[in-house]
Parts: sequence; structure tokens; C-alpha cells
Amino acid sequence: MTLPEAHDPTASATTYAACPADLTQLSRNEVETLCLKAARGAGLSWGLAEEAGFAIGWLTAQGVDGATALLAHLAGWAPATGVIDTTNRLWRAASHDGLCPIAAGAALEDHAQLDAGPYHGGIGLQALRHPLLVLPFLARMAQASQSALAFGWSGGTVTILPGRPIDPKALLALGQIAQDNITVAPAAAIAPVDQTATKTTPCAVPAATLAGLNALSMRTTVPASEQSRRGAGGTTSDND
Amino acid sequence: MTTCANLNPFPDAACFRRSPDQVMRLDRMGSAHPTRLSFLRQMLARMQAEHWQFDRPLWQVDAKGVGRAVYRAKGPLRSYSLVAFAHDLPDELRSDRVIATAWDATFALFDGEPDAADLDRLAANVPLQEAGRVSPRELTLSRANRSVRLFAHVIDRLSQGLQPDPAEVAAVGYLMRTTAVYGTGKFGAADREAIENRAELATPFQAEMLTVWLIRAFCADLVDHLAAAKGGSRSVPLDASTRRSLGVGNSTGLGMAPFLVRHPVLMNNWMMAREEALARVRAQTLAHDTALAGLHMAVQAARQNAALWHSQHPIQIGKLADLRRDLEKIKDKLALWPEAGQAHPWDALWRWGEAALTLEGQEALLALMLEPHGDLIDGLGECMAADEPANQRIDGAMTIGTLRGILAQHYDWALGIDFDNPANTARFWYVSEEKLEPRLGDRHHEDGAALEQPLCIARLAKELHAALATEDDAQPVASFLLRHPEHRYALRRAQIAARHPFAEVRDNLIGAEILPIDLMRCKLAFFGASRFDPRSDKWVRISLFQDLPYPHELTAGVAS
Repeated sequence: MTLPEAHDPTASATTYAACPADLTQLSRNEVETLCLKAARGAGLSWGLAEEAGFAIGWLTAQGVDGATALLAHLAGWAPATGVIDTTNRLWRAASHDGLCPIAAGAALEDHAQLDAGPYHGGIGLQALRHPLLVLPFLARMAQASQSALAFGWSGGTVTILPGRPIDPKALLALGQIAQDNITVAPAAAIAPVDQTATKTTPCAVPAATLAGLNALSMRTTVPASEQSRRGAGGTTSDND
Repeated sequence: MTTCANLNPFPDAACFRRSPDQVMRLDRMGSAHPTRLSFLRQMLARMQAEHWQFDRPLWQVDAKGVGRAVYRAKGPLRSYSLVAFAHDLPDELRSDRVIATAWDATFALFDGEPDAADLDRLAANVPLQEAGRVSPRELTLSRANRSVRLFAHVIDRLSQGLQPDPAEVAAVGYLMRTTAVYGTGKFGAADREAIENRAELATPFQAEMLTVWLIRAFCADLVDHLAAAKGGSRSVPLDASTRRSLGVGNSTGLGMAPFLVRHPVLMNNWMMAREEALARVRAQTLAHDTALAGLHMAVQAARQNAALWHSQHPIQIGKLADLRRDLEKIKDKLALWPEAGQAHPWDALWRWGEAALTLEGQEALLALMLEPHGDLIDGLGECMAADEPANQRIDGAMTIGTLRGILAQHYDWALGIDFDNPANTARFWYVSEEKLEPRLGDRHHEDGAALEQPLCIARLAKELHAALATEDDAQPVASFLLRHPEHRYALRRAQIAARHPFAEVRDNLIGAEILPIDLMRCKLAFFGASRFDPRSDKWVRISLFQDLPYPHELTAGVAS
């Protein structure tokens, strides 16, 4: 017996069943994979899409709903090239439609050891979209450099310390901001507060966010053709 | 691994290592054999050394084979429990396809010992597989379908007080085949980072291997149970030798092929551990009697295995002929080896093999030479895990000149490929919309290449190299990436490859001649899979744990 498309046990991706609850607790791996695909589906380069997966995985593990912020960023944004103009330490999108926080966060981290980077003087991020999404990069960078950074927005500042959680009130406030002008600058390390009280619960993902990110991630897929179905599996029955 | 080079207790081995240019070629990777460093072998060795205990605290299965069971593995620090749900599946619903919605049996590996509430929660979700959700208390989610023919035959014979026909058993080789074993956070299960610091799960895929091994015990128990229900006092249990010859089948498609490409640090660490093991063996200045005896036993076992290993696929038929012929050559060679006065007898044997054997035989010889050297190489098993997040950060301060040097040194195999030649871009990897699985398309005759997955590493590396042509050597890559975010992916890989020389498959993965089964065989060999049996160039059947002990035999010290 010949099956045109025999058994294909190994899917590459989690599919998310319609969930009766409003919130779904995803594993970090699921968050990272979903956000990578959604970012790619929205037009980010593969390398930046990987950074989006890292960033939202990090935020979610901190108990912050980064997934909803990512969806808001991706859904309302037409990525041009992701190219950043850094003239005079004022970073802005070359395309003038708002600075992508994934591209900006990754670029800041790339500059960690360079004179043009934030440890050698303040950097302005002009019209940065969803500033919350930059924080995972700054946290990873502060940890790797063992140096603190100050992150300022129109409503306040927060200090990012090596290996330490970020003030939850600041994360909450930043989660409400769709676009702002930001400064990132070196900061003096302040005495660490008690570390024992910082156990966080990973954030669950709202149903609407899950649906939105899934829809974007489906843009990375290719519709079936007869040829692709024929090529997918074995050519004989496995039922022996 | 480069950072711990000065800790290597066998520095002499360094000059016996094979180069990535030799090792990381698809045709050689597609000739890989399981070794004693394979993941299921590592698991069995650990459990035996640590005196793990196994039992079956729950067996509630009725005469139709419906119910639930729990298999418990108790280690020195922690326990793990396979929770099995057995179903009465009408034949018309039995499908191995990923879109199937029902299976003969479904499983989860529970972290610890489940209570009644856990079992009820799992009963509501595990039988649904992808349509359900598990929790961080679960390490894997899996399902299996019966081999209809062998399953019925075995129960029929046992119920009449007879053992199954050996020819039937040998023809299939398993009672059930898994059609997916999901781990690492899939469907809400525990993430890798939650378990990677446990010694017994630090080696890759240990939870998945434990799941499959306990499924094997469940399958054997289930046929005994159903035969007893059918035959009553006339029935007999499956005899130990027949049980031992049964593995767990597994069908695997293209979904597995991209894994090694997507996990360059992991692949490097697997390969480096194996290659270091071979180098250590070759560096020996003596061939001790115990090692010689072990080698002869391993050759004998390999010849028996090769005789039982069958395939209908033309490529595999040719490779099996190569293997059988080469194993005879090895047997003959061993009659004259080691020769008096050889400074490095194992190296001499290896060099003979490189000259005299096909790729199949050479890679089989590798596995054979490792077999009697557990004391020398087993510690390398601990080097096969990977800290992938730590390798994701880009070093933005690296200069363009350094990056250019990395591409010249580690991607010269890619820079020489002419991608204007249509044959060198004939294929493209994509994810299908309807199945969410990787597929391999025909670029010049199918739509969808614009949505290509980034598995065309050679071309991406060459494009990066071309983009660097006008850049200033002294500039940092950070400023290049500001202007060229499209090269971030390839640049990250290049930095990883500079630290991990076995990170890349050194072949064109979109060339007209690519055989995805080569990637699959390499990965499956690291799992410890035997009897690799392709059903097409993208689809393969294998067996896991065939001829290896069952849990109760390991406890009794009957491990091979």
C-alpha cells in the first residue's frame, strides 16, 4: 500500500490549542520559539528575530508580559531595514518610523565594550518603540560587563544592576509605554538589596496575545502544495 | 571546550584528532554508528553504576488493554515516573501522522512520584497529546502505536502457551513505535534549564531516553497481560531472550533533520567528545589483553547486528553491503594485529581502516575501537551538554579583520561554492503551513523560497563574506551590524564556529544532491539508535534499546 503522505511524527513547532482559559502558561522554550517566529513573520531579520525570542523569554521569566508588548510593537510597525543611525550618540531609525526595541537593544549590547557604547557616556534612543523590550539586553549586558546602567524615560529612571532583578514597578510602568525618548547611561553600582525576596513566577500569556503572535508566526510558513505533501514522509506504510 | 583544554588529562591525544573538514561532511555523518558515548548507553551505564531501582507501583489495565500504569525509576537523589495511558484504538484511527488525534498508548515522564491528583490531571491531558497541556512537573510527552501484525501475533501465541515465531519477531523488531517524544518545554513541560544541573539529566536527551526505555517495559508487560486475559491458565509470558530482542520502534521524518544545524554548539560538543575519544584510543602506546578481548567481542556483536539489519532502500542496501564486507575485513585484520613493534597499535589499526574501508566501515571501526575503552573515554560523556544561551551573545568588539579571518579559516568549504550554479541552490528548507513541520522544497520548480528557513548556512556565510569586502578591517562588527542587521544570523554563527570547530556541517545543505537522512542518521547514532532503515531520502525507521537490558534486568546486573 502506498500512502501519499505517510505519518509525519515530528512537527517542528508547538501548536497551541484553543485554550478555554484567558491565560496560557507557556514554557520559556515555547515563549522563545513563538516570539522568534512572530518577529520573523513581522519582517525582522533572522538574527534579530532570535534576539526577540531571547528578550521575551527573559521578560516572561521575570513575571513580565513581554509577549503582549512584542505583539503591540510588531503589529503596529512596518519594518524598513532595521538600520540604525547613531550620529552624535543619538540613536534613531534610519527609516524615521520609530526605533525597533529589538534592533536597538541588540545594538546596545553589541557596543558594550566600545567607546561608542553606553558604558562610555549617555546614549539617546529617539522615538524608541515599546521601551520595555530593550531591558533584557541591558540586563544581559550589565551581567556580562559587571557594570550598572541607568535607563531613563520621560516618566522616571531605573538602575539595571549586574545579575539583579529590575524594579518591578519600573517594568510595570514601562509596559504601558508605546513610544518614548530614552537615555541609557553608565551608573554607579548601588548597594544590593536583599536578594532572597525576588523569586518570580513566569508570566502567563493572554489569549489575544497568543493568537496575535501565532498569526504573525504563520507568516513564516509555506502553504501546502501537492509536491510538498508527496515529499514529506515515507513512501510505504509503516503499519507492520 | 576550548577553554578547558589545559584540563585534558590526555594531552597526547591532540595530534591524533581528526579535522572538522574530514568529520563534518554529510556522507561521513550519514555513516555514523552508535557508540558507548551514545545517550541511551550513557543512561544505562549511569543507572547501573548508581544502582537505580525500578518498579511498577500502578497497573490498572483491563482485559481489553485499556487503563493506566506507572513505572518508577528511583535514583540516589530523585525518582522519575513514566505515566502510561493505554487505549482501545479502533484500527481506522491508527495513524503515525502528526495530525493523528488518538493513539494506542500515550505517556508522560513525571518528575518525581505522581499522586492521585497528578494522575487525574495527566489523564485529562496526556491522551490528547498536542491538544492538551502538561506542566513543569512533566519532562516529556509521548505516544506510541502498536505494530498491528506483531502485537496480535505475540498475544495470540502467548495465549496458547507458545512463544512467538522468531521470524515474525525479527521482521518487525518492536511491539510499539513511538511517533513523537516531546521534551524541553514542549506543550508546557519543564524547560531544559530547570533540569540541566541534575547529574542524571545533564547529558542531552536523558529524559527522552528514559521515557522510551520505560515504554519498552510497558509494551512487554502489556502483551503478557493481554495474553493472560485471553488464554487464562494456558498462557505463558514472553521469554527473556525474545523480550531482549525487541526494541521500541521510531519513525522519524524531516522534522529531525534541521536539529543539528539549529544547535551548532550542541553538535560541536557531541562531535568533539566522540572525536576526542577516538584520539585518546589512537594515542595508546599499548593494546592490552582486556582491550583486545573487548574489541573482538564488539566486532562479533557488530557482525551479528549487521546480519540482522535489513532495509529495502537502495542507498541503505548498498551501505549495508559495504558495512558487512568491511566488518569481515576488520575481523581478518584483527587476526594479524597488533603487530610487534608498533608504537601506537590502535593508531595503526585506524590508519589501516582509513585506507582499506568505506565510510561505513571506518565509522563502524570508530565505534568498535571505543567499545573496550570505557575507563579512558566515558568521562567525555559529561562534555556533551551545551550552554547555548551563553553562546548567543555577539562579541560586538570583534574587528572586521578578525571576522574575515574566521570566515577564511572555518568557512572555506562554503566560500568556494558557486551559488550562481542552479544545482547549488536547488533545494530550500521551509516550514509547511498545514503541518508546521520542516520540509525541503525544489527552489526552481516550487513556490515558497522567499520564506526559506536559515539552514542554507554555506550561502549565508558567503553572503556575509561578500558584504565585508568593502569594510575596514579595524572597525568593530558592532558598527557593521548597525548597517547590516540582515547578516546578524550568519555573523553569530561565525563567532560560534570560531570557538566550536565542529559547529557546522561542512556541506551545502541546499544543493541538489543533499540527503536529509544523513543528518538524521548522525543525530540518531548519538541517541544510540540501531538498525537505521530509511524509507525514503527524508524518512527513516529505527529501533531503540534493541538487545539491551530491561529495567528489572539492569537491577539484577544483566546489563551488556
